[in-house]
Amino acid sequence: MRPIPDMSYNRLHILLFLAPIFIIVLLLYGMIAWTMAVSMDNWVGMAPVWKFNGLQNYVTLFRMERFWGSLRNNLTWMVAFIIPSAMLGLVLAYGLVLSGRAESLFRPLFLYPLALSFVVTGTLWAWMYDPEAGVINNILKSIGLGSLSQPWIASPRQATFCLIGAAIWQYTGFAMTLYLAAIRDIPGEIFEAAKVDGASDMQIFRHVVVPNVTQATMVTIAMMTIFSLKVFDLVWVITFGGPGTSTEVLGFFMFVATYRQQFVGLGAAISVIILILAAAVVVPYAWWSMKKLQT
Amino acid sequence: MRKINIRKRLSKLPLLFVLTVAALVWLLPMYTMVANSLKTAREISRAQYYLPPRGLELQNYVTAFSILQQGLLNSLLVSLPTTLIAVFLGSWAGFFLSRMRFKYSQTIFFATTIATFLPYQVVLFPLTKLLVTLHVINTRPGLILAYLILNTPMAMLITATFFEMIPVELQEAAGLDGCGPITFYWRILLPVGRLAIISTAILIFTFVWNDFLIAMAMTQGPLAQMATPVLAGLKGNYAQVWHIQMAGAMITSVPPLLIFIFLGRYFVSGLMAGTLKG
Amino acid sequence: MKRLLTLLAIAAVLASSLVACAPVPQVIEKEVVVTATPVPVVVEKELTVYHWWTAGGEKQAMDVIFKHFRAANPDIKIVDNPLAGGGGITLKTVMQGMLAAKMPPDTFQSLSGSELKMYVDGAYLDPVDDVWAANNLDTNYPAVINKMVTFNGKKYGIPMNAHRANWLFYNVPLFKELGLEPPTNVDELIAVAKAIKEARPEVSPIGLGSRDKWTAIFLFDVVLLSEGGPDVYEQFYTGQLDVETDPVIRAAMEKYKALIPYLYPYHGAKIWSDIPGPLGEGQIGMMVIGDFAAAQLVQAGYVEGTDWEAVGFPQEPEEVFLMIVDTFTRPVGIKHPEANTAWLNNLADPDTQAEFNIIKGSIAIHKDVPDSNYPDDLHQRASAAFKGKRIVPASAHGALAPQNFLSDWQDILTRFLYTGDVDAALSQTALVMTSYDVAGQSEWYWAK
Repeated sequence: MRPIPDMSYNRLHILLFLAPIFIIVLLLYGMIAWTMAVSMDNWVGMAPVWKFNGLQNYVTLFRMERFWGSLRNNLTWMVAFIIPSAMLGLVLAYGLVLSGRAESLFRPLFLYPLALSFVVTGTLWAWMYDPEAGVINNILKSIGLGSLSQPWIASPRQATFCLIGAAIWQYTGFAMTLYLAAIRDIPGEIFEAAKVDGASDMQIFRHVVVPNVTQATMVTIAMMTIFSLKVFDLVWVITFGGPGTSTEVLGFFMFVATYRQQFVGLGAAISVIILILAAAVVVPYAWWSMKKLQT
Repeated sequence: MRKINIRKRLSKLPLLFVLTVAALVWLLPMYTMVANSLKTAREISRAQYYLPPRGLELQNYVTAFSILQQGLLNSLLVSLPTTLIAVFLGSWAGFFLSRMRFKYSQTIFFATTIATFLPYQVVLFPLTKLLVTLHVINTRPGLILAYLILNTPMAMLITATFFEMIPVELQEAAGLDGCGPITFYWRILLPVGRLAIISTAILIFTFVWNDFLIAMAMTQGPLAQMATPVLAGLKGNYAQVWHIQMAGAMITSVPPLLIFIFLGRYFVSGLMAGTLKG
Repeated sequence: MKRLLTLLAIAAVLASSLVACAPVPQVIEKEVVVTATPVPVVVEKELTVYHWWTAGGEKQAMDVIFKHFRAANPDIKIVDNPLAGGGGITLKTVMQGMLAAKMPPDTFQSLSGSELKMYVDGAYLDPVDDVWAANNLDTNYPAVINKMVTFNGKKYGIPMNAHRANWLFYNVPLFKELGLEPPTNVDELIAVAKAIKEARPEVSPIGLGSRDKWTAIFLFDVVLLSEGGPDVYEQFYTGQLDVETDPVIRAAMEKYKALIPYLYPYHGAKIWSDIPGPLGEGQIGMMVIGDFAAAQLVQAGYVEGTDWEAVGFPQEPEEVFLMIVDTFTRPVGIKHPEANTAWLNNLADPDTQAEFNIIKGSIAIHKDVPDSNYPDDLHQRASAAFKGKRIVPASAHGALAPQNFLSDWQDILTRFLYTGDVDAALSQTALVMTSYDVAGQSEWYWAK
């Protein structure tokens, strides 16, 4: 931040410029506080019931198998979604840098899924994964690999990974773009020096690129962690939490608890858990980007 | 010299091959969506999904469009005003925070960043109650209000990130000419910061257009429901009509894809600024 | 000073948000008639209807009601608001939100029973005793229906059609070829499924689409009816039984488990409407589902009697009519009460019901509509069963059991279809039943 002293402003200006955003942000924080309050409240049904309940909703929650199942799925998402898409993104980014002019041709092909709605992605991948009519199994059959065909989303064991596969398809381009920018930011001399020393592209990747993109990795991981915590649409559209409850995540559980079962207090407690998990990433991230802008 | 070039090119062949294969994998879902949206129900039932369509069954699009029509209109009537207002309010504040010396800039910036990145679920129910209290539940103004609350902070962050990059001299010169913040914003910053404004607008429009959670939780029925929930309902309600679903998915994707194809540069720069990497 | 600034700030934002939103309501007023009565002098007569009949045939069925309504009330304009998504999760939330915001539609669709009770408990509905009495529904409707719309001694909805949930559809050529008779109880169901599987391993004996989890309840319900009969069924879903120790419930769960090997293997990825097609083709042998599957089969070109057939299931120990009832309501504070009354009267009319139900694929509730009203065999038999057999409210969708219990119950059942763990399923069910106080929530059903 480099504020300029020469342009004078007065209090009215502050009010004029910052009041709208101030109110909106305040409103958001107010709603968060409200959710926290409701999470300690025995509210069932649509009409407000203010009956202080202490931490009872959390106790109930922690005793529910379903909660732990959802949480476990969120954690699976974090691991199985973030690592492959970040790695794939980095490899693709370096490949694009090496490919020279072909980059402008290839880049949009990996990036376009990002412009699609999750509902579209979900509709599309539900069909890719359909155990009978699905594209993947049919392609496998047509190239003589029918024995490799899987039940995919019809199997409680595989379904979450199927969802993650769709998300990787959609988000690898995002990681790739971040890494592309990061690789571009590496001073050219380092590459030159490595080349003069006779390093191969592989060696450069390992010893020059990887150590110099940590910041992009941090951003990627932060963004994708947040995504893993709030994932909802893909689950809703592709499996609706099933088979059974095998693909439920916290965001989905919260929605069902609040809107279908009208356990508003319980739903709020799940929201607060999501909030705490997300805050563990978001707060340091916000701090870090604030410090970075300051310099 | 030329020899080296050729050898260099040849050495790239394996790389290009790998990239091409990867790109084909990435295009496969899109290809099947387009191909099957143009097939007849009979072709679909034969399960040769990877084959191109025999003819162009545009009737699928007519059917899908008639189902999605009102939803698309609602999406447009919600996304556009939301984008305009959010970008205005966001850049208005983003300008002040990034270009003026103000004691609490950091604090506001920090608080806004947190508000931007928190999952929607955390405020979903209170937001529903807010719309009920204001008597705008299940209406387009209600949706606009909800999206404004959720997206304006992001608009502020992105524009602020961009405005950081505007040269100091510009503002100094304007200041010396006696130009105040308001005049500066309208006369100089908006024209100079076009890139920022367009990028932010594109990103927010895409977010709102593509959103599902809010649209689903707060609306029901054709009066206010956006295209995404209608498309999701199409999947849930009409079994074995993959061709119609695919056509519907294509239609719903048209606006964001057009933006991506023609304004991809802005889309990417907005996205990057959106991570505060800028 | 600070306080003044804050106030100013709030005022500024309110003003700006008002300006921001101003153009949009105008657009709505032009297009949609809901808000088009701002001038109190000229009270335009109209009726806003929220319903979830959007799928192919249902829309035409709704048009029949509109036709009859317009004939009787030419001066009232209908504002039709169909909600796609088959009464999804959010419908009730949005509807309750609108009711809480005092922006009720002039009438909306609900299911009789515990779902209707939810709105009554929220004090969102006015009684409709006047319409009920005017149409003499005490005698014209079966007593069960009466019970399902009565809360605190008043009537809160006008039902107009009934779907039968306990049909067993089967593929006729397959049954003929293997010399099979349609099963009459769950043991026979298992035996028939076994016979199919042995003779034709490529055929899935029992079809199911459990991505829509409620279909798992449909299947369990017929098992329970077969094992315990209608009394146990009603007791179970109203929380009267000790689920963990009750021998009948355990036996039913064991029988349900015995069905698992014969189910269509990919049921978790399919919805119910994916199943009739393969059933007509003979790739699936049988399917337990409501009469709405008949319309799908006919639409896809499969002929009743030749390609497929359906029987009420189970027939033993007692054949019942497991019923889902669609109902329309009178919300509190509506703008057009006369239109609402006219609408409800129209629904109670036997002529409207007769014509509507043929297209809808359900049967009329009014006793004046004869069995011969329906062109197809299945609905004639349904109508006869409705008049002759015991009517039991179906658990699914919240007619009998409360919504919050059902949500967990369908999860328990769909999980069970993969684990087959009887003890776990029973203890989970017992836990949910007690912690949600299903017995307390269901008191209305046993009230005199």
